[in-house]
Amino acid sequence: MEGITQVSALPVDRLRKNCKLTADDLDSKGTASLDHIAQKRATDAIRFGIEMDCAGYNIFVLGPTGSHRHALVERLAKELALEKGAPDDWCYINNFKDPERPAALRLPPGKGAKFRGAMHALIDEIRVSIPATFDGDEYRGQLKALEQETQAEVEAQWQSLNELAASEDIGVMQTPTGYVLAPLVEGKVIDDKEFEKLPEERRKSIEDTIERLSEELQARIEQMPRLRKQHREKVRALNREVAAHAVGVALEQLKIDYADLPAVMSYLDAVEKDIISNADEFRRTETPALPFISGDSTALLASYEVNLVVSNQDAETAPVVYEPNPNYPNLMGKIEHRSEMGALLTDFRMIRSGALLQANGGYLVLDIHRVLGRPFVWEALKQALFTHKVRIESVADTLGYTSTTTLQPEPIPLDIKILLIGERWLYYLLSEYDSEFRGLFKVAADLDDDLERTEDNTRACVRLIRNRIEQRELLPFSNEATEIVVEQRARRADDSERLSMHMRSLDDLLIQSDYWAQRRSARKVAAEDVRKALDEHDHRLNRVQSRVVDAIRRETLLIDTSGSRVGQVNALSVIDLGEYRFGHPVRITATTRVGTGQLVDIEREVKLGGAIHSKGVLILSSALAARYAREIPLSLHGSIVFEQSYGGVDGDSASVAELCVLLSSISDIPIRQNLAVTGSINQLGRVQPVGGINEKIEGFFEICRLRGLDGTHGVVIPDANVKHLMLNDDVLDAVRRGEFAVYAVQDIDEALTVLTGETAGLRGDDGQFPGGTVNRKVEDQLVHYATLRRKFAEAPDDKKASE
Amino acid sequence: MTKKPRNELRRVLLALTDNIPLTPLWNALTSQLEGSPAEVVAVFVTDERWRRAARLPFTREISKVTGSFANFTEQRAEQLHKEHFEETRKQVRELAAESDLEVIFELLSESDASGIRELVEAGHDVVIAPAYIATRPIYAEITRLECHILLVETDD
Repeated sequence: MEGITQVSALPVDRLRKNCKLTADDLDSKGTASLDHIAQKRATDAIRFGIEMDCAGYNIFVLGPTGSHRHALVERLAKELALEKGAPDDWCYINNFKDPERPAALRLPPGKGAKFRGAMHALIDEIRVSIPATFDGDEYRGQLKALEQETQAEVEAQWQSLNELAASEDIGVMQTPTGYVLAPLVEGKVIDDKEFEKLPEERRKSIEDTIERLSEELQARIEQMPRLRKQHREKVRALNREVAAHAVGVALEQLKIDYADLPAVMSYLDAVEKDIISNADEFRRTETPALPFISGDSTALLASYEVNLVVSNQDAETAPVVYEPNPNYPNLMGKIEHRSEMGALLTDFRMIRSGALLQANGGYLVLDIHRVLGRPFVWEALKQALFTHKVRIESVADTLGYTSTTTLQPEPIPLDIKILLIGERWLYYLLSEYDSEFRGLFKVAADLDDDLERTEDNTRACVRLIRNRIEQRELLPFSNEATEIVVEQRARRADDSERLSMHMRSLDDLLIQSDYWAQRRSARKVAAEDVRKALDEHDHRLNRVQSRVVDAIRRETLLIDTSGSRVGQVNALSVIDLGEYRFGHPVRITATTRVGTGQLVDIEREVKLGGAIHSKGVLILSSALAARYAREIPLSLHGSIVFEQSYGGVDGDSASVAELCVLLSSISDIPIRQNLAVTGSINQLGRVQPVGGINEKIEGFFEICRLRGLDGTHGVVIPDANVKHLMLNDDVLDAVRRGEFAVYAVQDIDEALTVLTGETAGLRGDDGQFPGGTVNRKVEDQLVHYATLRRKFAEAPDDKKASE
Repeated sequence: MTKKPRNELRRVLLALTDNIPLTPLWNALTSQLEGSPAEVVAVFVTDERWRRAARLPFTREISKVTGSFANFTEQRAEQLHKEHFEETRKQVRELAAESDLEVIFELLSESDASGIRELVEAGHDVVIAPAYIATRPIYAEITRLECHILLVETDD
């Protein structure tokens, strides 16, 4: 039983699944859009998350960039927002009891702006009406009466004292700072000489009288502050009474308008009380002491303003807010400051809302990488979601680094759904390392990268293409052009049986095809325009590829594309440059000799091999032993290397090539250099699929074409990769002409058969590979190595030394 | 208040004392002058009561603000006189400058009999003095002047 003797090349129709649109496909007018079909799982999850009225059911939308995640999320959120009404307005108002802790005031949607306007009007009114009241004759009359009353009381006291003093021949004289009592004789102050002439009894009487009157005077002086205080209190009471009347009139209509809002009524009462208690301020001049300092009543009146931080005046549905720059102030809000005479001042009017408050009652869409990339934002967002409150404070306050007094606005209750958009790896990273994450973002909406290429989905894809053409007002696409675009969806998905949902690349292709059609003044985008767009796209990005191809062409990078070599094979590698990737051949060589069963992966030894590559080498090592050395010691020392590879190597897609080149070296059977091979291998010798299959084939094809296709060139790929083939026209044309071939293999025997041109051979009933087959030669050589090794082990030490 | 014809005015005496508001007196003066080139002599008559009271051993000054006591000494009385005189002279100069008048300023003690005599003998057409001065001894000397005496109420 010799087994496989020949592997047929794939027919051209298996190298690309072409798109042939029927009239039905092109006229399809179904309502379901492609992303609705493709993203049903994700859209169901988003809907579930939004409708789940429970804490923690925020949504993380997982998907790659360019998949139009934002548009999908925004559209869904807006659809669902229609079911909710506009949320309440929020204002910050002065807290008259504690101005450093401004109060939050909730008003029905749209009433915030009206209330703010009403308070403006009130301020304008009292700015005029209260001072006018104080300037009025009535007030002045009452004030004068009070002053006269007090003055009369003071004068009465002095009058009585003067009279008392005069009755006892004592004069009361005023100095600028006090009073002096002196004895009078005939109305004239006597001096010391005259005083000495008086009888002692009289002198004693005068001194006693002055002492008594002095004490009386002192007592009356001490009463003066009390009198002045009483007067001030009477004036203040009068001011309050006058102000109360004026503000009562001004507030009357406001209290009627907002009678159904207790919080507003309570605030208006506080305003009224504050105006009355500060009535004296309204009597002061409004001319500032210095030109850059506002007058007292101006500052006082400002404290009655309303800072509208969230207004839903024109909203009819719940808000859907996307914050493209979610830094701390943009998300949480901030407290601004103004500079005044070198000092930074603030008050409740300078509180600004962030996206959280703007979206309160609705939906906030954020990019997780932007949230995580901006300091303190992630922690602040989680804190808000945990507490269901938005606390506006500076970052320094949050961290406790502020030593100066600042505002502490009352937190505002938060009722919001957060929709985070991000790459999958960020979701998994947060799930793994942030213990709070899963409690706050319980809903994962995982966007599919692609969908099955069924007839229905193809029709939906055509509809999507047409919608986007219309939305962007591009030239109409011919049927053939549309077919190429659909095929590119499959190529983008790396799978002929699937369609990519990467919207940005679709848009790019449509727009660029339109550009090339416009360039040739066409009225319709034709197939040639789409092909031109694809070629130009590649041309713009293929500088690295052209350098690699050039190096191979000039034989700087040594790649044989003809003849046969022992221990040398062409493997295939892919370089991914983000928006562009390409394949190129890589030479792998192997050497073998008798040894102790050690297989040296030189890439790993010099730390240029990645973990997956090392795993692949270990698997092939195991496959080698299991296949050929089950009953003998594997007495082989082999080494494998990627020639002229000076960067890292990773992945296991070269493991088939590595095993084949190793077997070539062991068996001394040459490998065809006009072929390249890719595929990974398992321990049982089965060939497994790899990524980038189209680029790899096209990469080797390009080198062969440069050197001249002669009908012997081709590529060996895993059979499981055939469904992924979406090769370009150049390869397909060459295959049609018989100049190039693609071989699909299922196991290592098929790969060996194609690469060596010899039969691999299967074990017979006797457990032996047929003579002359590749496998038999390998096994025989391994037995020979084992024999040599045994002989060497049995030889005397002196002989070993001489050998 | 009567007015002497303007062209007959040659010399006007303005009598000033302690603690008297100047403005009413000055208004009365300018009203009398009305552009006349008459010579204006401002005489500050010191209040002798303070000196006399200060010589008594038991006299004290009681603070208007706190009601506290302090000995009222002769130095304190002199200080008060000086302060009043300087303040009054300053105010008169300012008023004179505003009215474009030249004022001769003199200081006279109430107890200075010869000074008063000289003043009386100098001869004046008008003497303007606070009404309050009528209660002071100097008023008796002033009334001896053969001129028009104008007493001005200085209470607010």
